[in-house]
Amino acid sequence: MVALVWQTVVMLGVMPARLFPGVDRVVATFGRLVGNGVLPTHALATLARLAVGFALGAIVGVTLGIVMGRSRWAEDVLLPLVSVGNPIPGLAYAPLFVIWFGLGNLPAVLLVGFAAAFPVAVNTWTGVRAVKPIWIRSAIAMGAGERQIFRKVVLPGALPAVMTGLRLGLARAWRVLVAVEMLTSVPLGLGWLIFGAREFLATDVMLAGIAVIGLVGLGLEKLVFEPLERLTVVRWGMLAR
Amino acid sequence: MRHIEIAKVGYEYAGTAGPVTALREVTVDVATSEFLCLVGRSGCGKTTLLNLVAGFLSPTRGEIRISGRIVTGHGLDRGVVFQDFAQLFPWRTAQRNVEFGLEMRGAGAAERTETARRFLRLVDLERFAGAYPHELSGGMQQRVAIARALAYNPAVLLMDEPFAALDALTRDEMQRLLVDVWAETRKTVLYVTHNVAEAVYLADRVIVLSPHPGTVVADVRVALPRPRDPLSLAFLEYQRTIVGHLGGRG
Amino acid sequence: MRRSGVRTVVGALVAFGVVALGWEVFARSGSLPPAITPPVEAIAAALARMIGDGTLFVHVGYTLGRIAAGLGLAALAGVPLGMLMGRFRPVERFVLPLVSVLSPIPSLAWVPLFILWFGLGNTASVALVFYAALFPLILNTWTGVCSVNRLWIRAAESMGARSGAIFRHVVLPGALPFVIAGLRQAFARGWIAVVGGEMIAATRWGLGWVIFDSKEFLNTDVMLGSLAVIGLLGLGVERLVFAALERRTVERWGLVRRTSA
Ligand SMILES: Nc1ncnc2c1ncn2[C@@H]1O[C@H](COP(=O)(O)OP(=O)(O)O)[C@@H](O)[C@H]1O
Ligand SMILES: [Mg+2]
Repeated sequence: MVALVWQTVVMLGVMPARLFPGVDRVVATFGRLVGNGVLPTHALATLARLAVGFALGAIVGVTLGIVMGRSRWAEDVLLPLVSVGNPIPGLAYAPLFVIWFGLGNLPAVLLVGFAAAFPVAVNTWTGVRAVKPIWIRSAIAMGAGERQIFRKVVLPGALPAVMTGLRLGLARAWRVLVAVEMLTSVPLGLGWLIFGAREFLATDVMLAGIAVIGLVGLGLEKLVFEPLERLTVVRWGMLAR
Repeated sequence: MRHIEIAKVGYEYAGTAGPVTALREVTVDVATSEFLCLVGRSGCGKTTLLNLVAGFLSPTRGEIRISGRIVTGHGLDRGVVFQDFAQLFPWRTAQRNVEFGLEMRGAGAAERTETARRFLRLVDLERFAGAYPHELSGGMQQRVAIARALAYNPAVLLMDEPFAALDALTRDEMQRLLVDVWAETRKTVLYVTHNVAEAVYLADRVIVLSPHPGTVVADVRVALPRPRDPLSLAFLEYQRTIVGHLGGRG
Repeated sequence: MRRSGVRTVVGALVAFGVVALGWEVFARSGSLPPAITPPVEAIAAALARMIGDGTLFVHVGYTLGRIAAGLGLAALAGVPLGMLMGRFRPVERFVLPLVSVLSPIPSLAWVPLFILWFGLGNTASVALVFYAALFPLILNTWTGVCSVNRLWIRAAESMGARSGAIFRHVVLPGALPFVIAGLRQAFARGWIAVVGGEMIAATRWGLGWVIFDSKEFLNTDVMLGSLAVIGLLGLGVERLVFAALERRTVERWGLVRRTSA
């Protein structure tokens, strides 16, 4: 369907063909770039960065969220910081991170983690606070101690919200990463591929790169989160599907 | 033998509009293996009294003893069943919910599985051991909650209107099942309800509380053989007596 | 239990105080050159300078103008499209696949291509905001129309309402909470897109451009100052505009309840 619309526009010739390649050319380029390993290499580099950065952000975010949910004191102090930091686009920090950490992988990974941590923290906090008091009471009545309550009641009880946070965090991480690769001159990566292709007006390469970016984003959602949710919160009936 | 002794207990909530006296001078003794019902209008302090015995609250006056020891907190000698179906952990199957108390006690896997099975069988839910709470009806969830409260073998079972949110037919069924379970396990039961017929059907003794502040106004021994017939004259006579103590139509 | 206002304010003050103090100590310790970690008063001075010569307002004006244009166009296109999708199956069957393929692509991935197509400057930034904002608007409006309570439509029909009237008096207000939620999401995405887009595709004006431009001269004080402005503006629009919009309409009708915090 997309292809159809696209091709119609191309045929109408409203834009110069050099800047607006036909579907056939994009598909051909896609095939060529996959065949000679260029796209997979760039995609792998980007995914590796995403994995490390997101893992960092998830660990920090979940920890912060739990601490905020468990301690009034931490909540009072951390919540204002998190809620002011949350709406600032992560990318706005990119130049600053470049100045602080130089070019290359380090600022990119750190920025991805930084951007992902906010939604994870906010949602984890909500989840921990939303754990039903009756679950805690039941656990106490059955002789559970502080640690056991935390491990066996608070953590699973907060899981639906934590999942939502991780999902939002990953989406955000992905958006930031693609853009930040254009700014930090990483050696390899999809963002970098697109940005570099601009120099040569290689719009077919750019579109092929964009297609991969869309596919990866869709894949992360379908292949990582949906199965994970089906196994946990959907199975437990805590989330309607 | 006296199992639970509630002696001159008073309780005051620190409400937003000044202190609220929920209970005053409540004295009740419960014998071992006795089935005792607390009835009273909504807001007369039934839940408060149950929470005191459970150890979730501590009395502002008087004291509560179980087997001669003063209650200072919750303990594995008491099992609790609440009204809210949501008391089950949604992330655990029926079986694993029932295992929870045993797990806390550090029981081995084999013992846990075997015991949980036995109590699920007792409430007639062995077939649903692997089901998650959301896959069970309200009545089934409450049965799991009963099995869960019994599984770690407490001497006392505390129940706060466990069947109040069920439809009438299911409730009748659950009451019959509870009497059977009680006859088999011989627990001491403290059961809260605002339903007089339910109290007469279940209890050896019915304690009537009056509201604001909650005080004991009557102590009625139900001397009917079981299984009881809710349509018999004697049954209706008991109901009439208790409603009279409640002052009005109950 | 409501968190008391005093506690919240004190908590916020402590939080920002501690962060500012920590930053100050770190900046003055000289472990990094001051050009990289300017102290708080340098940041404040940079902001004051930008306010004094009026450049800050121009930058803010450009950024807000771009997001307003992009968001407005996206609303003009996305809301009607979402409505049509909700009312007519063929439209839904044609548009939905398009949307679900395009919407997971981060808007900023298009920047280089948009630069080629539209050149550097306003058009590219506005197009970027448009792209970022369009999909949340379409999807939310569509969901909203689909989830309008069938009973309301039946009731209106039985009271003699024609399809035009049903649409205007039942479907539109019924879908409004979702449209507003969509606008909210669209703004959040558009805000990221406009700042990112300005970094890469703008010339001379815009908050994103300031930050990026300052990097060349290591003007970290200007960068941090602009960052603060971006954060405050984003938060301000979210809290003032959208919260007020919600209070005025759907909250008053009791269609959604305010969520705490
Ligand atoms: N957390 C509380 N704070 C203040 N007052 C309370 C609280 N809980 C209960 N009360 C008051 O104590 C009285 C008894 O409540 P409760 O024990 O829940 O009654 P019952 O279970 O019989 O309906 C009521 O009048 C109620 O207003
Ligand atoms: Mg009660």
